[in-house]
Formats: sequence, structure tokens, C-alpha cells
Amino acid sequence: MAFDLEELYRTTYASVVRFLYRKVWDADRAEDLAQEVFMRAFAHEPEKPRAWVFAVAANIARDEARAAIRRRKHLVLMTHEPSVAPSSPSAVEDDMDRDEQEAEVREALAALSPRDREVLLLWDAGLSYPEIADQAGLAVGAVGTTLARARKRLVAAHDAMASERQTFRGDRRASAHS
Amino acid sequence: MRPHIPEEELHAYCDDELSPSQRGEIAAHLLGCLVCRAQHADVMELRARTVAILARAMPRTATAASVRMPSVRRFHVPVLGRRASIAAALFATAVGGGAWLAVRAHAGTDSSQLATTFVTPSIFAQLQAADSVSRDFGPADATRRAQMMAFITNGLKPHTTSAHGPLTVHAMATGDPALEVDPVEAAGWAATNWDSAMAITNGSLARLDGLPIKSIRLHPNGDGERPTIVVRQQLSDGRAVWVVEGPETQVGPVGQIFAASNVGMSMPLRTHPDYVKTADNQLHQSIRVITVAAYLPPDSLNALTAKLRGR
Repeated sequence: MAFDLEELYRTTYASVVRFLYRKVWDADRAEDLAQEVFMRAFAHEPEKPRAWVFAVAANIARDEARAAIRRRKHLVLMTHEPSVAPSSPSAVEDDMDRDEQEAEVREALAALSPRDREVLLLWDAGLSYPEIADQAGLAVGAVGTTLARARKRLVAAHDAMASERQTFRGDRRASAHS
Repeated sequence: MRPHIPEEELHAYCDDELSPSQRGEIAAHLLGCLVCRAQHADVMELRARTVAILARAMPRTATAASVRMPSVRRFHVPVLGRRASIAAALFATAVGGGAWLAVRAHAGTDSSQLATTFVTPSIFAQLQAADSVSRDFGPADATRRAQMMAFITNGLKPHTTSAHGPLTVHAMATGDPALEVDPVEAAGWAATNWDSAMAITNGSLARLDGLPIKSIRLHPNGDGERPTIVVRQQLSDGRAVWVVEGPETQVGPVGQIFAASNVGMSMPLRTHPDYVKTADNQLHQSIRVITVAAYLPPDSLNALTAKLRGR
């Protein structure tokens, strides 16, 4: 089948950005890296383009993380300005709430083993079990097991953090009242 | 009868990753096995929760940032070297600035059109730079040049199909069905205004917080029941999103109206019951259901329900 960059871009760009975002936690950087992935795809014309772009995206994200460690910088500390300046107190509150929720997801993902996290993110990006198996170096039959474990751990870790947050808010309210 | 289904197989079943014969086997087993049915429900819930959690970590839309400024930071061309990056940035700034002025002059301030204008120059600059440096692509022959230009002009059209994140879609094209067609309007539902709708619902009209309301349409239901109401709102990128609320028994047909237009719906939320008096003076309980409809994938629609007000 002829390589069709336009179709590949149309069907996978948003998923690639989302996949990269959950690795680098910076929206602009994720878009930059995604564009680099598609530039490489254009140059290489891979046989299995969808699996290929995610493999390259994973490698690029890994390189990015290594470079950050070398520079003794943590990507999680990079500033990520909101793309739209909040226009009202409720917008500010929404942004803060969103940041908190995102931090919970980030921490919940960090609680997973690297392989479980990779498999989960690839699944969420829309890859099939055989594609995930190919990229994660697993047998196709092991993808279901890995996903089952990853989903349980993600939900458990997220629930634990959400509950901590609720407790913290409750304490804060109580101390404000007293 | 086969032994209970292993959990990982249920995950594969829910993810639609089994062969038709395996699916058939599991479906048949589920029909007769309460234990596996309960586990299947658990797996479905776990899967839905995973999707909902991950949906909270989406890159914020680049639309507004793209509109605000053609930032040099966005024009990374790492494989091409510093000179090419600078050339690309200068080129993109020139193209972007010109386009911005042109759009301002001719197209008003519609953010979706501006966004379309600005997403393009970034990768256009990269492709231009790549073409001129010819490092990754080799000599630029006519075919590749044509392919490249086709990609520039067509490949960056906004995504209107599913399988994409909710707010990462860059822009809407004029003429997109989401802008033109309102399924309930086409079905002949009567329009009403905000005050009337709030009065009818005793101030509990379901809508998405922070999004402008474009229209409200309702369909009366019998026996003094709450009408079915569809509030059309607009996402920041210009796309339409509908909040549908009404008695549980009445929301299903609305789903069919939207499905006929290929508009997806979120999982319905059941809210507090209404007690309505029938013609023969009897009280009966009516469960109110709210759902969100848009040209978005299911996980995005489910995530949007977190912003519902008037529940």
C-alpha cells in the first residue's frame, strides 16, 4: 500500500500529541516533537506507518527525558503556561482545578511500572493489541494481562490521591472556619 | 460449559481484540454465567474509569496560542541545524504575520479561522526548510514536491472524525457539518429562550459551564413531565456541543436523532428524580437524564460531562 502521509497525519496526529504530552507534560513541546515525528515519517515512508510513528514518538520522548536528566532539569518542572489567559476568577479556578486533576493523573501514571505505563498509553492512543505487543516487546497474549494490571493500578493510585486531596481540602476548610 | 473466563481475556473482549469466534464463545458464556457477568461489568467499569482518568491529562488546545503569536519557539527543526531553524522561523513569522493581517482584514475575529491560518505556517516552514536543505529528503524531485505541497494544503485540514483527543483539534473549517447542521432543529423542535427554559426547569437547566449558549430547543412530554431540552453550545474551537436532558424514557429517541447525523453521545447521567402529577392526579417518579452530544470521541464526551451545570 502506498504511503499516505496526509491520511497518517489526519488519523494519528492528535493521538501522537496526546501520547507525547503524557510523556513530557508540556503541550508546546509535545506538538513540536509530534511535528518532528511526522517529518521523519515523511522522510522514511515506513511500511507500518501508524505503529512506526508511535515507536518513533516513544524514542523521541525517551531521548528528551534523558537529555533533561543530563541537564539536571526535570521536565515536570518546566513551565507550561495556560494557552488562554484566564479572563475571570472562575476561569482561574477552573485552571487550578484542571492543573490539580492533571497532577493527579501524572502521579497516578508515575505509580505504574514503565512497561505498564507504556502499554496503557499506547492503548489509549488507539493502537491494537498486536501493535502494542510489537512495540512493547510482549506476546500479543500478554497485552491483556498487562493492560488489566495497568488499569487497576492507575485507578487505585488515582483514587488514593483524590481521597488525599479531599481530606486535605476538608482540613483546610476546617482550619479556615476555626 | 467452559470454566470462568480469565480476567485478561475479558479485557481483550471489552477492547474488541478477539477473533469473531472467540467473541462468540465469550458472549455465549456470559449469557449463562453470573460470576463472569459480574466480572465483565467490573472490567467495563475499570476500563471506563481508566479512559476518564486519562482524559483529564490532555494537552491544552494550541489554537489560542497559535492565534496569539506566531512564536519562534514553535518552529523547531532539530534535524536541520541552527541556520535552517532560524530561516524557518523567519519564514514562518513572515508567512504567519501576513496571514494574520490578511485574516484580520477579511475574516473578522473568528478564532477557528485564525487558528487554521496559524497552524499551517509552522509545519509549512519545516517542510520548506527541509526541502531547501535537502538533507533528509534527498534531491527534491517533482513528485515529492507535489506530495509535499498536497500535504501542506490538504494534510493539515482540521480533524472532524473520531479517534482524536477532544480539545487538541486545531481548527474548524468553514462548511463543517458541526457548524451547519443542528439535528434537533432539523427534526422540527421548537426554539425557546434562556428565561423560559430556566422557568420551565425551575432554574436547573443542564448546560456546560463556561461555554456560550447558541440555542435552546425543547420537546414537550405528556402528563406534566419535564420537557426534553437540548441546549446547543459552542466549544472554544467553534464546534457545536449539545446538552440533552429529559425524562429517561424520552432521551433515547433524541440519541437516535443525533446518531443519524453521526454525532456521538456521552454516557447518560441519571440525576435526582422528578415527581410529576399525571392527569388522574397520581404522582409518578420520572428519572431525569443528562447527556452531552458532539462530534467527539466517547472518552472526550464523557470527560465533558464533568463540566455540566444544572444537575
